[in-house]
Parts: sequence; C-alpha cells; structure tokens
Amino acid sequence: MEAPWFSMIFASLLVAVVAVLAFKWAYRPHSALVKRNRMVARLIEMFLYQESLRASGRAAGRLMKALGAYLVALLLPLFAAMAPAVLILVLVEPMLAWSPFSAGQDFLVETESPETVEWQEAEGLQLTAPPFRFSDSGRTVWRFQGEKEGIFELTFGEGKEHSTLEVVIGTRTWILKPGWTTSAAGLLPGVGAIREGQAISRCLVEYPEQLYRISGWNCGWLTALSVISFLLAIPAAIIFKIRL
Amino acid sequence: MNSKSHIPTTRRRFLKNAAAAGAAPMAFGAPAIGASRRGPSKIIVMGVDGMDPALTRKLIKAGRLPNCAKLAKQGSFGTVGSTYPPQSPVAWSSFISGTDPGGHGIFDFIARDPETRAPFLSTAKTEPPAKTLTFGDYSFPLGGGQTELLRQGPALWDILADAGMDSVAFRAPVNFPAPKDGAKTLTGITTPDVQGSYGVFSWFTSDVNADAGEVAGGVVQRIHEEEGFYACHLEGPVDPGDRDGKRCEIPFKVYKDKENKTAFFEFPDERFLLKEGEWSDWMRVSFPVSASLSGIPAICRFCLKRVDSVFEFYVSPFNIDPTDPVADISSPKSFAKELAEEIGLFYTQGMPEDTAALSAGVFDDSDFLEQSWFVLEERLRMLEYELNQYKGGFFYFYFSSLDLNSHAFWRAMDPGHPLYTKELGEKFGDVLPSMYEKIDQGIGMAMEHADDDTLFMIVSDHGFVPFRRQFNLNTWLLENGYSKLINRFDREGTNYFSNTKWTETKAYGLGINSLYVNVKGREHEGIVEAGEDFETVRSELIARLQEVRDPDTGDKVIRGVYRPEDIYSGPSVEMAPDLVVCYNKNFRASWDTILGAYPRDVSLDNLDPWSGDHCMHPDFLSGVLISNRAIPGGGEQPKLWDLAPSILQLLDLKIPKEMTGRSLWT
Repeated sequence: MEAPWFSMIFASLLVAVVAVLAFKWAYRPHSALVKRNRMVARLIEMFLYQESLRASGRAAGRLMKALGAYLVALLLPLFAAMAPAVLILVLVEPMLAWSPFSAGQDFLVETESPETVEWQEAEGLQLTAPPFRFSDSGRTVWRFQGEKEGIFELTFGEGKEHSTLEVVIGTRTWILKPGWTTSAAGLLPGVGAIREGQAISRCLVEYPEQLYRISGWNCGWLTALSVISFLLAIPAAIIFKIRL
Repeated sequence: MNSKSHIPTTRRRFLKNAAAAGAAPMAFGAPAIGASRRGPSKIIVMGVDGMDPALTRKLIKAGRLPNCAKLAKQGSFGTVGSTYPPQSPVAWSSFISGTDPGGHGIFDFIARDPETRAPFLSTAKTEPPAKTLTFGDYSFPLGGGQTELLRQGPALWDILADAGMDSVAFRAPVNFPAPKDGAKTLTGITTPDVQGSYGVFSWFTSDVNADAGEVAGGVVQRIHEEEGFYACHLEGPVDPGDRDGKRCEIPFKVYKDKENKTAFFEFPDERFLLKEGEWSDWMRVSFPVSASLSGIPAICRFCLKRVDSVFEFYVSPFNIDPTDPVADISSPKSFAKELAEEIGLFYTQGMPEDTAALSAGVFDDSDFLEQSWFVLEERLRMLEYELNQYKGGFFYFYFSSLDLNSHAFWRAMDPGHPLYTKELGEKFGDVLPSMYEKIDQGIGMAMEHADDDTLFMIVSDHGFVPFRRQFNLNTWLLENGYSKLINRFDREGTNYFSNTKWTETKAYGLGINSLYVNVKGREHEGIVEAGEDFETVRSELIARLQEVRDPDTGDKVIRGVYRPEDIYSGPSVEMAPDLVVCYNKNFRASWDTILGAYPRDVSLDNLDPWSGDHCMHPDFLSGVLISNRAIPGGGEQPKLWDLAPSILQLLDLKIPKEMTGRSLWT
C-alpha cells in the first residue's frame, strides 16, 4: 500500500511549527545567549592556555559547567515544545501508523464474547477458515479476506444483541486503530471499534504497520515523522527568528 | 578450537556447519579486457538446471514447448557436453569460468580436508573468528569470521561488467557469497540458509512413535499438548554469543481445533490461523543472540499437515531474509532488499524445493509438488520484474525447478524404477512435462525482450537418467580389502568414518563421485606411499571398479573411473579427488556411502523418492543448448566451458588465459 505521504508531510509540518512556536514561547533568549557566550568564552580560554596543563584543565572544567548551564536553559523550552508535539502524535498515529488490508489478503479479527457468536455473511468479505474458538475463554479468532476495496461492516451475533464493527480494505479514507477496543465511545472514532450491541465485549483488528521509504530505508511512521519534522523545524526556527 | 583437530562429526552437523557467507577472492585477479566492444547488444542466457535434451526434444515434437521450438527454428537445437562428474556445482562453475574443473577447483558437492578427512561443502568454506572472549556462559567473538567462495577464476558476468557492459545474473549458481563488486547478482544454488546448511526443515509432531532428533536435512521435534496448547520452539542457528554453542530458539504456542481441523499459531509479534494442508505466508523471525541486542533475522513458511489424533506441522528452512540479509546474497548488497520490496519476500536458499522433506516422509508427493509450484511461480515473478528493468547487456536467469523436480518425479515416468506404480504414473507422470511447459512460458517472456541484435541461449548443465540402484562404494572397498573397520559389526555408524581403521585402509569414498587414496603424509594415518604405490593402488582400483557388476541385475555398475590428470587441466588439478567414479545409467553412489558409512549390501534398490539423477557418466548426461544463432557443429560437441569464451569472442573481448574452453564461433 502506498504510504500516505501528503498526510505525513502535513502532520510533520504541523508538529514542526507547533513545536517551534511553543519553544519560542518558553525560550528566554537573553539568558540562554549569555550562557552560550560564556560557554564560547571558556572554549577560547581552553585553546589560549593549551600550553599550560593546569590552566587548560581548569578551563575545561569551566567549559563543562557552562555547557550544563546552557542545556538547562534549553530544557524548559524543549519540554514546552514536546508537550503539544506529543499530543499531535497521539492524534495522527491512527492516520499514519497503519496500513489498510489489501484486497485478497487474509487478516485476523479476534473477538471476546460471553457466549458463542456467529458471523453474519456480508458482501465483499469472506471467511477463509473456520473460526478458531478457545475452549477456556470467550476468545474467537476469525480469518477474513476482503474481495474488493472499501469499508466493510462485520456483524457478529443476531437480533438486538448483535455487534457491528468495520474493517478497511485497500482505501485510505478512514482512520485505522488496531488494539483491543471495547466501545465506540472515546477520543478516536477508530475502525475496529464496536459500533453497537452487546454480542461481543471486545474485539481486535490487527492492521499491518505502514512503512515509509526515506533514502532507500523503510522506517516506521514515528521515525519518518521525527526526521521530517526536524528538517522542517530548521526553516521554521529561522522564520520565527529563534536564536539558539 | 583448532579446526584441524579430530572432531567426530555427525552428518547433520556437517550439513549445518559447512557453508556460509563472506567474500570471494578471485585467485586469478581481474583479466585485462579490450576496451572496444562489438557483437550483439543484448545477450540473454536462460540457465535451466537439469533440462534434459531427450525430454525437451520429445516435448517440442509434441508441441508443448512453443518458445523453445521457435528459438530452435531461428538458430539451433543441440546438446552441450557436461563435466566429469556432471554435478550441478561442478558443471555450472565450468559454464561461469570457462574452464573444466581443473581450472575452477569444484569437483564434487563435497570436498574434504586431507589431514582430518573432515568433509565440507565444496563451494564455500567458513572460518570462525580467530579469537573469542569468554565471560561466564557468554562468548564474544573478537573480529568476524570469514567465508570464502572456493570457485576459482573470474565469472563471465563479472568480466563483462568490468568491460563496461551492463551485466546481471539472477540466482547465479556457485556464486555465494556474492562478490562485493562486478555484475549485479543474486546468489542461487549453493546459497545456504541461516544455519549455514543447504536447508534444514523443522517437523513438529505429536506422534508418540516418531523418533525425535535429526534426520537428513531436517529436525524432528516431538510436541505435547499441555494446558490447551502446544509449547514449541523454533531451533535456529548456533548462538554465536553462547560459550557452549547452544542453538538460538524462538518460543511459540500452537492451539489446535480438532473439530474444524485448524490451528492457531501465536508468536510474540505474529499470529496466524491455518487450515489443515494450508501454507502460511512468509513470516519474519529473529533468533535472539546471547549478550546481544540484535538477533539473527530469517524468514520461513509454515504448513499445517495434520490435525486429528496426531498433530503435525512443517516449518521450512530458515531462509536468509532478503530485506535484512545476514550474509552477502546479492551484489550490490542492497539489491536483494530492493527486489523483495518489489515482488515480496522470496526463497533465498540455493535449492528451495524441499527434497529432504520428501525423502524423510514429511512431505508426500502432493505437498512437494505444491511447494515446487510456489517456488516456480516466485521465480517467474522475479523474472518478469527483472526483464522489465532490462535495457541491454548481459542477462542471466537461473531456474532450479526442473532439476529438483526431475530428482523427485522421475520415477513417475520410469516403469523400470522400483517405486513406479501405475497409479503414480497416472497421477504424477505429467508433472515434469507441465513444469517444462511453465518454464517455456518464462522463456517466452524473456524472448519478448530480445531483438535482432540479441544472442539468446537456453543452457542446461546436464540431463537426467533414472536412479534405480544404489551402490555402496565404501562397502565394496571394505569387502575387497581396501579398507578395514575397528568394529566390524558396526556398519552404519552415524559419524563420518568413525569406525574406520585408518592404519589398514588404502582408499575411501567421500562425496558422490570422489574416491581418495589414503596417502601417507597427506592424510592423517595415511598408509599408501606417494609415487609408485599410489599409482599401483589407483590402477588396481580403476581396473577392478570398472568390472563391478550388480549381483542382482548383472549390469555393470560403473561406466568409467578416471585419474584427474587425464580429464582435467588447470592449476587446481592437484586439489581433485584421486579418482573420479562415473556410474552407469540407473546406478549411483548411495546416500550412506557418500558420507562415510559401510552398509551391509554393496548394491540395493533405490527406494527413495529421489529417483532421477545426473551424478553418473557425462557421456549420457549432456545438457541442452538452444540458441537463436546457429552453433557451428564442426564435428565436435560443444562443452559447457566453451560458452563463456564464445560469448567473449562474440563481443570481441579478450579471452582470459585461464579460460581453457574454445570459442564456438571462431
């Protein structure tokens, strides 16, 4: 499946801009520049007195101290930048981290139910193996295959008690969120969430991991987003006139 | 441990440890090539291992190979002489290097260290790290081990690449480890699995009557159901960080559903559900290494064989993962990964069709056939993808399917074979013709990329003949006073020659066609003086072996026994076995005798599904040579080692002096 590069670059840009702005808000340039200049001075001192082991050693000690002070000055703005960035990462993960199933590809859905449930056949999906029911618990593993692209409803159980969830085959129009889901309510309207009913208490749809190819290397979404955000943060820092 | 010390080596340990990865020293150095180049702009060579001339001709006549027929009509259909012996690594090495085995130094699948007689796979040799540092149970190697490609001389495709021609070789035989530079290649036959063997399958069974342990080319594990599941583990390569050399293991659970005949496999990072008789997709695994954060990556496939009172499943050999290769399987190194990203994961081991599982009874004929078709389809996908990238230059593509399926299914076409039945013939008699047809389709696909300025060739390294009777060469040597046992009642010990009394042994067979004299000063406890005594023993053996007749059929077992200096030329002749034994049609060395056992019968029926073979006399095992340009006859049959110099001559490139073959277009 083609990687969603547009969403990835948009999310990276968002992370970069928000992080840079948050950094700027928390950053005290005067104090930090004083500490940086002190660090440069200690560095020059160390070179100037390199003939004297004692003097250059003392300068090296002062240099380490100045470096520590400079990093502490950067620490608060860095935390300030990270907080909104992490929030954005949590929000975009379902859009970027997972790939929908391909048409013709087998995939597993695991359900947990108080009683034995059956699947109601649906157009576009077929069960490719008998459901595997664990004897000691209410867990059942179902193996499906999507015949064509689209968003398909999986219905378990009958009548009022039936439960419905959705799976995505070959299309990027939906948010994917694998992991045990108990209800539709929550922060994310993740596919795999149980839409209604009580026939199943939990379900798990395992979407494949989405990989991003950067300079010949396939990497996960977080690595890709970090690399691109960092690259975009540099011009953003220049635009917002941040001097480190 | 000193590699030359006497270690009792089991057959499986040998198969597991003998091959591996590393760099390829070019013993002759790169030859000087003329800068200017003429001749065809495209050279496409389809290397079809084991394509038999007689069967090909028959199928062309029946109209089943239209592309081969078309090519033969454009140019010529003929045969090409194979090597002594016509074993695939030996024969393909001759094609690649343009020399007979005396030049490239590969004489048999198996070679031996003369001092210890320890066998090793003849195409590559691994040296472990020289020093290791040990802390408690952990061992840290200081420096890397080294693997050496033992085929001598430059490869044709590398010569062409050095001359500035685009040159690619897919599944290139006897080319592991892949050279660091030269042509774009993906290694083929002789590429090991991650255990360093030609392929070790795993068989998990709950059958209480099954013997757990090692079988030829595999491991059998007995499993028990406890608490509703089977706790199993994949046994991988030797843990390089473990002082005692334990194997890396990956634990997993399997749940079965007897009623629905399914099983659910649960690994820490992967889960899948299989029906009885079904194969899984490729699965990535990583064998954990002691005292290391990284593991040994590999890929494998599962097949659920049986879910009833007995529960059984098969796991393929752990192939090198092309997306994260632990050894040099391609040149450039990134090529295997790029290919896998385009066409999906694929078998990287040199001989993927699991004949060992068939021989061990783990696969039945249908299982083996299903796996073989999977491999062939995978190859055709690879061919299609690479042909689409091909713009000109040299293009070589290798197919293993006909060879390994001819080994397995020849009995279905051979009413004289002890395993032949009418039912078998009806069910599987058309397997090989169908596979020839499929490969013909692949050839047709490649022909679409040929134009008027293309040299297009189909080359096979040998043909096929029936393998009906096994001959125990070491037993014959024992019964005729050339060797002696320490314990004469222990005839079939599992260790190589562990029961041989070397101080009273004059000769021993090791490998499929190799016979060695126990020479004083060369072999440990050698007794035959070099010089006159050596010659006397050789002459005697030649004369006597050529007269051996099968006590049951009365047929001559051996067609010819040869001194290497009579059949080879080149700098590696001195590394050759002392005698090369070429068997008659229907006969071949037994599996036991190859690795140093002394079974009771000198000859016996071959009751192994491995029923066709080519490790006999090259006179009746010529390969196929079909070309769109007529090959001049000249009264002399072209040899495999003539093809490389012929291609160079056609391109007006200088033929390296190490190439002893003649140019067919001179």
